[in-house]
Amino acid sequence: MIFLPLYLPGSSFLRKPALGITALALWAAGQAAWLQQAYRLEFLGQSTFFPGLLLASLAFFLVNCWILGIIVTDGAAAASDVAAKTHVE
Amino acid sequence: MAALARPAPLFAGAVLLRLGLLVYGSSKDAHSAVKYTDVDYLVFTDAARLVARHARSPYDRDTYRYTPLLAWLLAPAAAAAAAPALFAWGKLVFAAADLLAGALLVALLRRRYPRRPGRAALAALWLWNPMVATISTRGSSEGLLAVLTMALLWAVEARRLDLAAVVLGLAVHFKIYPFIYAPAIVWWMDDARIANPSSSPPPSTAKPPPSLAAALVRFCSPARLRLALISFATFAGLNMLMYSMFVRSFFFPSTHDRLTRRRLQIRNPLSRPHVPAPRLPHRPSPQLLPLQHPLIHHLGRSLCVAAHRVPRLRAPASLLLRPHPPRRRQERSRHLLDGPDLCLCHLQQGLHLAGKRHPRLVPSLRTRSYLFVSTFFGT
Repeated sequence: MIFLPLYLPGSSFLRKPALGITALALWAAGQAAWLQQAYRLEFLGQSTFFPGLLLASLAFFLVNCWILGIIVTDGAAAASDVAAKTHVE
Repeated sequence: MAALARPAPLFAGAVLLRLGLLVYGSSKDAHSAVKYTDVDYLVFTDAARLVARHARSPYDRDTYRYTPLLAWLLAPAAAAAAAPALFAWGKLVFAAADLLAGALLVALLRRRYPRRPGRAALAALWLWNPMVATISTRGSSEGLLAVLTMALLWAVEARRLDLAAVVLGLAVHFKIYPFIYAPAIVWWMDDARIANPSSSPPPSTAKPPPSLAAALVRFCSPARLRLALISFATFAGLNMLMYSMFVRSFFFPSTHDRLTRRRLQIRNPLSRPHVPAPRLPHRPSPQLLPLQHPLIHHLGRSLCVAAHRVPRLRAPASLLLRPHPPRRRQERSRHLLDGPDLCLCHLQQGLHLAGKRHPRLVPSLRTRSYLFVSTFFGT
């Protein structure tokens, strides 16, 4: 999370606000669902391993993968931009 | 909004947020069944008390699996019994680490985007982030890792690679996972970015090297080797220093639990009510003095557990690990179920319960073999 402020300027999430807001909402929802299941498990002592915690973890994991995919694509695009620039020079 | 963009209000807001959470947390700890403070924080403070007041190893506190540096850092919290306000010392340290990470972040942003107006808003993503503030004020040590990570990035971008190497070694000593930043740094250190006196042609005109071996030799530039050497020396030096100070107990919890997850807390460190934390010091018995090396001890434990299933292994196991001398009664009962055996016991209990609830899951051959493998790697 600490890398976020360094990455965000010029990222797809800021260039396309719809994408950014969707990603933020999905991530927050995934995190909230996962924490809610974890809270029920850890603090209330309910056995939420299956299916609640499993599904929440899977959803959160997939959202994270999707976001990371966008970040990696951005990084690759930035790297090829830099390479193109140095090539021209 | 423009006024908020200056650093002073930015940091004042961040400090207020953390102080507010600290106050809220202490009142919640006092009045609610659901505690605000992280259970691992109790482990830190217990270990700090052992180190500071009893001159013992922090690893005498079960489930302490961090560097002793952390226990020393929290040493003032050991006086919490006399001055309850000091209980929050570690939280203050972690929150301060958060803020320092934020300051480094601001410096990095300033260097990258000298004239971007929304810079403060970006820094606020970290500094005013309620999630970040909650994590550190609950007493999780991640803030220290954030400082080290940002310091690493700052040092690399400032081309102070020796400093970066030391920070990297320290960070990996603190927690293993920052090693994933190492490849990125090493890749980044090409001739275009690091002035390399030995390679005379400018990077843009350099031709691709003819062969794989030549490419490899080229890749291992002096700067990269230097980074690797310094960071590894820092990491290994710190490890050996801590190991020599707390010989018996360091290897086992600190490195091993990284691989096998929690040793005693079978569910999660958050779940304190489920597993009472035993505080029995694990003293070496005099009979075992020649076998005090933790690796041998560990091997013996693995063999012992395996010997329960394979009788042929009993002889070598008993050779490696002779029985402990008799202890007092309450110690003996604890001793029956400490460390790996407890873990195994939990595993078996879990399988048993799962089999009761879902008869189709009754330990099949596969789960049994998994159990056996996990006794080898999981003890």
